[in-house]
Amino acid sequence: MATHVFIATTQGLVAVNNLYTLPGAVANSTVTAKGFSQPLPIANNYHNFVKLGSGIIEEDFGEGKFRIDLSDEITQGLSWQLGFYLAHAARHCGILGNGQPQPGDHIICATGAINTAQRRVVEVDHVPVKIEWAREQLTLWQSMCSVLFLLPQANAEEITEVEGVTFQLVEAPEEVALFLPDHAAIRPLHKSTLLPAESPEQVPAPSSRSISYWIAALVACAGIAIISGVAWQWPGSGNPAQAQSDTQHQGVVSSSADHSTPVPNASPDPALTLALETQHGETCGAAKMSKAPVSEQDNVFNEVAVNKNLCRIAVLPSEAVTALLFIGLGEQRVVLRQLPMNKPFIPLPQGKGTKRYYLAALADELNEKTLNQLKGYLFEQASPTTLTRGEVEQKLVQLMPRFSLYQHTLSGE
Amino acid sequence: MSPVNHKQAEAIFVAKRQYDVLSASHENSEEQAAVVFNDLMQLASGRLPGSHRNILHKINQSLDLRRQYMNLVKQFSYEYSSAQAAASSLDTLEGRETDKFALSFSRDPVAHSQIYVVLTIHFPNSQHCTDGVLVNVDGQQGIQQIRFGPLIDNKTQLLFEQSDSALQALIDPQASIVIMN
Repeated sequence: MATHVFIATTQGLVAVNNLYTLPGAVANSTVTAKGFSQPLPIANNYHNFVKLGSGIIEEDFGEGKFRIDLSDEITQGLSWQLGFYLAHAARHCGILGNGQPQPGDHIICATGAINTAQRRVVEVDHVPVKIEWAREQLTLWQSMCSVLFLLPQANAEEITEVEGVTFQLVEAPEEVALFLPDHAAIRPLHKSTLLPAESPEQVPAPSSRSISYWIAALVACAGIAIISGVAWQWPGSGNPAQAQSDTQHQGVVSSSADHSTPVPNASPDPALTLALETQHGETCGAAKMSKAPVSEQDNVFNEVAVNKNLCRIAVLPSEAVTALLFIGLGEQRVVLRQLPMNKPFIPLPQGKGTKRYYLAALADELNEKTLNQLKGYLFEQASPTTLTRGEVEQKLVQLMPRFSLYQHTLSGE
Repeated sequence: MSPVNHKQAEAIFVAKRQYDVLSASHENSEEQAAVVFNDLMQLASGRLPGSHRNILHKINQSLDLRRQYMNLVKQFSYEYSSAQAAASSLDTLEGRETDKFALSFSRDPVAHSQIYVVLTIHFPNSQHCTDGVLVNVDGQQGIQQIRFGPLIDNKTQLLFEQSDSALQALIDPQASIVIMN
C-alpha cells in the first residue's frame, strides 16, 4: 500500500508522481511536471526549500539534490511546501506512491507554507477554493482509499467538510510524518531531536501490518514561555484491551522494571500537573467542538479511543509548568523534543492499534547542554522499546530537579 | 497657413510616412528585413527576447554576419572557450573547464533521456547572479544562444532532452563557447 501525496492548488489537485535524488554533479534541486525537462517557476524556491541553511529538507532528510516530478504545473506561491515536505517524509520511509492511487492505498492531500526559520506551518490563501476544486476527486477516492487532508492550523476555520475525508491541522512540519499511514513508515527522520517546534512522530509497532498505522504527535504553539517534554511509546501490536488494563507496560520488554527500578527524588511534584482534554466535533475545523477532560490516576491518564469525531487531545499544564519534554520510544529510535507551551495538543493518528506516550512537565526550562545529555543518553539506547518508565525517570532525575511524568494510551477504532 | 506652419506640417507628414513604411515593412516582411549592426548588438547583449531566433537564423545563414557577430560577442564576453582538441561523445558527456567557468553534464537517473547542464562561474558579476548567464555557442549547426538562470552558489543549471539542439551544441567539443558578461 503506497501513500500518494497531492498538493491542493487553486487549479485542482497536483500529484507528486516521482521524487528522487539527483547525481552529485547536479547543482540545484528542481521541480518538473509530467516528466518534461522544463523546470517549473517554483524550482528555485524549491531548491532553497531543500538547501541546508535556507531550507529544511536537507536538514531533516539528509543532504542531496532532489527532483520532484508533478502531474501538473505549479507556477507560483508557497503552499506547495507542506505537501513537498510530506512527500520527502514519505519517500524517506519508502512508501511514496506515484500519484496514481490503487484500491487500498493512502492518499494525503496538503496545502500549507512553511516558515523554515521558525519551522512552523503558516497560513495559506484560498483554502476553500482548493478544497472545492479537490472535492470531486476526493469523493471518488474515498470509496477505495483512505483520504487525509492536511492544512495549517491557522486555516482551521476555512475547512469545508468533504464526505469520507479526514481533515487534520498541523503547526509544525515534523507533524506530517505522524500522519503517514504505514507504521513501518514512521521511522526516524535524518535529524531527529530537539526541534524547536512541536509534535513528535511516532514509532511503529510490531510485525503485523494489519495493526498498522499509528501515528502520534504532540503539538504546541509558541507562547509566553518555553519548552516542553513528552514521552511517547508505541506499543503497536499490543492487544488494545490489554493495553487499557496495563498501559504502562505495553511495548516495554520488562514491564515490572518500570516500577521496580528505584527512582530517587522522582516523586511527582504536586505543583507540576498536566491535564488532558479531548475535543470532539463532526467538523474539526469548526468552533463547535465539545470538550471533555481525560481522567487520571497516579499520573496515568485513562485510555482514549480515537475515532472520527475525536479532533484532538489538548494538553493543559498547570501554572508551575514552564516546560514540556517529549520523549518518544520507538523500535528504531527515541524521539526527544521540547515543545512550546502555548497550545500543546496531540494530533491524532489514523488506523487501529494502541499507542502509549509520556508527557513530562518540568518546573524549569532546560538548557541546551542538558537536552543534549538527555538526547545522547536516549540515542545510545540500543533497543529504545526496552527503555522503561523507571529508567526514563531515573535519567530525568539526574538532569533536572523537578518534574512530573505522565503516561497515556490511545486506542484506534 | 503660414510658411512656418506649412513646414511643420510637411515634416510631420514625412515623418509619419516614413514611420508607416518602416513599420509596415517590419510587420509584413520581417523575414526579409536586413540585419543591422544594432540587431547584432542587441542580440549579443541578450536584449532581443522576442525575435532573437529570427535574427540568429539570419546570422547563421550569412558567413559574414556570423563572423561579425562572433567578433562582437567576444568583445563583451566574460570568458571565451575555443573549440576543444579532445574528442567527446554523448556517452561520456565530458564537460569543459577554463579558469573562469566550468560546464558539466549529468544524466537524470530516472529520465535517462534528460541531461542536466551545470554551469559554474568562478568569478561571477552581479548580472550573473540576478539576471542569469547568457551563453553563445558557435558550433557545427551554427550559433546558438542559451540563457541560464541566475546563479545560486556560483552555479546554474538547465535540463535538456538529449535531442535538444542546444544541448548538442554545448556538448560538441568543436564548438566555441562564449560566456557573456
